[in-house]
Amino acid sequence: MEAANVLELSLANAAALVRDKQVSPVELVEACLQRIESTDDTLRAYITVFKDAVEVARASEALMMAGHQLGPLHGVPIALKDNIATAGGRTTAGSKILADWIPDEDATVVKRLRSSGAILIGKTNLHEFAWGGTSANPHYGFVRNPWDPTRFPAGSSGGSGAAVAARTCYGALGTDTGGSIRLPSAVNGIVGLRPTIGRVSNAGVIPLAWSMDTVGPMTRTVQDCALLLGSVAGHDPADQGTAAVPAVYPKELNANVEGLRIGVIPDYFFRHLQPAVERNVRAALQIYQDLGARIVELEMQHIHGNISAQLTVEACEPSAYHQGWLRERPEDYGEDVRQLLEMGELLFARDYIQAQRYRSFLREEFLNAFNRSVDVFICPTLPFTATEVGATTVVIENGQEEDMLSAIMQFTGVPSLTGLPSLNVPCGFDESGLPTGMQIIGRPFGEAALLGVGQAFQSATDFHTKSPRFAL
Amino acid sequence: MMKESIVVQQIGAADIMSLARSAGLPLTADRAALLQPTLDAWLRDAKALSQKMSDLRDVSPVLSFKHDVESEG
Repeated sequence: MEAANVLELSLANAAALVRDKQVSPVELVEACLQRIESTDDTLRAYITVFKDAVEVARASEALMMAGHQLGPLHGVPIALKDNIATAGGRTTAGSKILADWIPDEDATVVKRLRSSGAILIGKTNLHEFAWGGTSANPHYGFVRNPWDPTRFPAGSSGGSGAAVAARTCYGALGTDTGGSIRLPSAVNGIVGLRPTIGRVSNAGVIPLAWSMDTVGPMTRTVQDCALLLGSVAGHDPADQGTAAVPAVYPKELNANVEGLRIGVIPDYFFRHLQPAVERNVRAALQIYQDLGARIVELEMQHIHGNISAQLTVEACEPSAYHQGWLRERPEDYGEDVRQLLEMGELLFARDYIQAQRYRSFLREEFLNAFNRSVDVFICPTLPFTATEVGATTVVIENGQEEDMLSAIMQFTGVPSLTGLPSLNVPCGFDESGLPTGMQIIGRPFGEAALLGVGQAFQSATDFHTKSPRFAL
Repeated sequence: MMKESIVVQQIGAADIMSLARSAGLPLTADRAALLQPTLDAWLRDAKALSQKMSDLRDVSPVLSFKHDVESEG
């Protein structure tokens, strides 16, 4: 198969073709490395590329030819956000402070990927220490969006988002605290899942805010997302926060949405957003209705306040983790992250605890809605499409410039605070051809149902099959 | 009984220097001035949320889910 065609395969198709010995892991890895070579001087999606992946692929091929299949990802190249530890492989978290850190042990999710047969192709660029939403990294280069390299890829998992969209890997892991998987998935036109808090182990992942952090998959299709989630999820003795619940597998996805009750909060989900984003999410809701789903409009009295709660928690917890380095090596941080860490030290304990109490309160409100009247919620993932690289403000409406950090988390904050799972699914493009995303929020540990709802949309549309012009 | 609201006054650079000293965080006047607009906005919003939550005495912070296999969707 030609390299360009190989790169257009979904993760699930690539894995199936390797399993059927129709495509070699060496072909997949060489095609990905070639694509990285031709795109990454511009995109800056990778911090480290594993050139020895070809040797791993040869061993993977030999195993397959000898009749040994390691797991569902056998022979498939996967990328990792560079705040996820790899034994013997530099793990920088996008920082100067950890520029030379080589962990002794893999993160649990990396061990599981290797056990599933995945081939690690590289470590992706990110907002420094995952503390920010633009992936404008002063140490390893500003990540750029493959749909338009003058635009940002959002963040903090911006490198993973750009890497998947540019077809340099078949899937990637990101981490999400306030939206860091879903936001780059939305602006790069891919699928990204923030799993339920406790679904996936954080052992070996450099934290941002412990009480909201989670690892999750970023892929081109919902089915691929389920495949990658199934490979990394599950209880881990090394992370006592993980839950003992069964994993999710693609064969369990039920794409029948007949009778599905979709919750919409008009007063919040359709206010203060760019027209193209609203139009595309409303069109997606109409597609669900055409498929037999029902829209249930709700009010959430206490949803306002979520951005402040998120900023408070997300500022205080990193400042505790970085307390020592901020005093010993303040100049080694990028200016934006240094400011955020300094501010996090100056917030009040009372406000932090009240923010944590607000999270319980908000969660209860959403759980009550799930118990009473809805199966999922749908809203935009973020209120705007990709802004210019390096921008620190954004215009959403009326020509008014707003602070990027507060604006970007307008819709992703609810799942982050409540711990509910949420999925970004591509739902169209704006007038400039930039992708828009919708966010589907589900019940705790309801990833299988959530992915089924996403699968229903992808079965009825072709947005997920479009390639960025730059990557062609 | 009339509820006492949390008084929110603008936080200036000098206040930030004072807070930083209390936190043992070295911070120059220039840096305090850089932080001032954003920190002031954050503190105002945080205090508004704090005031709202102070009325809800029965809510405790619970941040994880019960590991209930039946909740699998």
